[in-house]
Amino acid sequence: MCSVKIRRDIGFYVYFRRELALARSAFGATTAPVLFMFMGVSLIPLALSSDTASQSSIAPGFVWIMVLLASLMSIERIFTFDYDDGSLEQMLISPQLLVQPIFGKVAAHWVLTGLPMSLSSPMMALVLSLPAEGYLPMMLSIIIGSAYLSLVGSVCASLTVSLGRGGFLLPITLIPLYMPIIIFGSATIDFAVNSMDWSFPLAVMGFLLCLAIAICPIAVAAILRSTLLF
Amino acid sequence: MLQAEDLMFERNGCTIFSGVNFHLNEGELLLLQGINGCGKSTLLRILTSLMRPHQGFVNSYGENIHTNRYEYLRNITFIGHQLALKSALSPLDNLCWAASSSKERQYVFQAMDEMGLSAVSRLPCYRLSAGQLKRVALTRLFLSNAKLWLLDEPFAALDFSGVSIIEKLIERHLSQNGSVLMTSHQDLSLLNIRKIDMSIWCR
Repeated sequence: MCSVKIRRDIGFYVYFRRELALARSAFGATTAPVLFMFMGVSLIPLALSSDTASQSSIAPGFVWIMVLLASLMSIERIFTFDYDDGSLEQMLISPQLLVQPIFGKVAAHWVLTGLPMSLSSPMMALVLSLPAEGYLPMMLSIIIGSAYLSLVGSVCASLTVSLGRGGFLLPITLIPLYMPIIIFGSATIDFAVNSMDWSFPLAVMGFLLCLAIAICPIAVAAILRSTLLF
Repeated sequence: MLQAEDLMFERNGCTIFSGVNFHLNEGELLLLQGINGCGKSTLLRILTSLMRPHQGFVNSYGENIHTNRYEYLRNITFIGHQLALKSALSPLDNLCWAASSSKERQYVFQAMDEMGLSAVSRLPCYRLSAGQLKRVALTRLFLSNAKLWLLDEPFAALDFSGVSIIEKLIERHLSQNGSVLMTSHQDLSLLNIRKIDMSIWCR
C-alpha cells in the first residue's frame, strides 16, 4: 500500500495542462472554431463583388465578426463537459481557491482558440485583400480581444452550465458583453488601414482585458459555487 | 467528528427530508439506507458542502463546515455517481490529474494494481466497462489522505472481487481511525456497522 503524501494544491498550471491534454485527444473539436472562421471568411470574396476596394473596406469588421462567432461557438464547452462527467463537482470540493483552476481553464481556452486565430489571421486578411499595414494591428487586436472574449465568455458559460444545454441563452447574454471588443477591435484595424494612430483603440482593449482578468475568474468562482446546487 | 443537526431540505417547495440528526465518530462506518428518491445522494452532497440545507447545519469537530470550508474539504474524499473521469484519457492519466501530480505516477500505478486494473491502466477510459470505470474512480480512495470518506453507492456495478477489495480498504481506513459514511443497497460483510434507515426522515 502506498502511504503517499499527495499534493492537493491543484492550481493554475495543473488545470492548464489538463485542458491542453484533453484538447490533444479531441483534436477535431479543438480546431473547429479556427476552421469555422476560415470557412466564413473564404465565402466573402465569392458572395461579394470581386472589387478589392470594397472588400478591403469591410475586411476589418468582418474579421472581427468571425473571431467573435468562432469564440462564441467554442466557449460553451469550457464547463459543460466537466459538469456532465462530475469533474466540476470534484473541482468545487477540492481544497483550494477556485480562481486558480478557473483561470487555468480560461487560459487554455485562449491558447486553443484565440492564439491560433491571431496567428492565422494574416491568411484571412489575404483573402479579404486587407492592406498590408493592417496586419500587425489586426494580430495584436485579436490576441488581446480574444483573451477578453474567453474571460467574459467563461462568466456566461458558468451561468448557463447548470441549465443543461443552455442553447440560445448563452449567445443572448454574451453578445452585449462582446460589443465593446468588436467596436474597438475593428477600429484598431480600420485606423491602421487609414494611416491613423491605432494605439488608442488597442489601449482601450488592453484596459478592458485588464478589467476582465481582475473580475472574471472571481465572478466565475462565485457563480459556480452558488448555482451548482442541484 | 461529524455531526448533522436538524437538517431539512426541500426541492421545488416539496420537502425531501427533515429533522435529520446523526453523528459520526472516528473509526466508525455509517451506512445510509432507504428507498430510491428518499434523499440519500442529496444528504451526501450536503455533507460535502456542495449543497446547503434549508434548515439545520453540519458540524465537523464542532465547527460548521461552511465557516472553515477549505480545512474541512482537505479532510474529505467524495466519490459520487458521476465518476469525474475523462473518457479520452487513460485511467492512469485521469488519476494522476486527480492526484494533482505526475511525479507520483508510480504510486498511482501501484494503487491501480491493487484495484486489479494494471492491465487496463493505459487504455483510454471509453474502452472500459462500467464496473472497471467504477474501480478506477474508487482507486482515489487508495490515494486519499482524507479522514472522512463519503461514498455514494460505491458497490454499484462492482463485481464480487471488487466489493471485497473495497470492503478491505474500508476496514483498514476504519482501523486507522478514519470514518466512512456511505449509501448502499447491499449489505456489507463488515462488523460494527451503524445503519440508518433514511425513511424515518422522509415525508
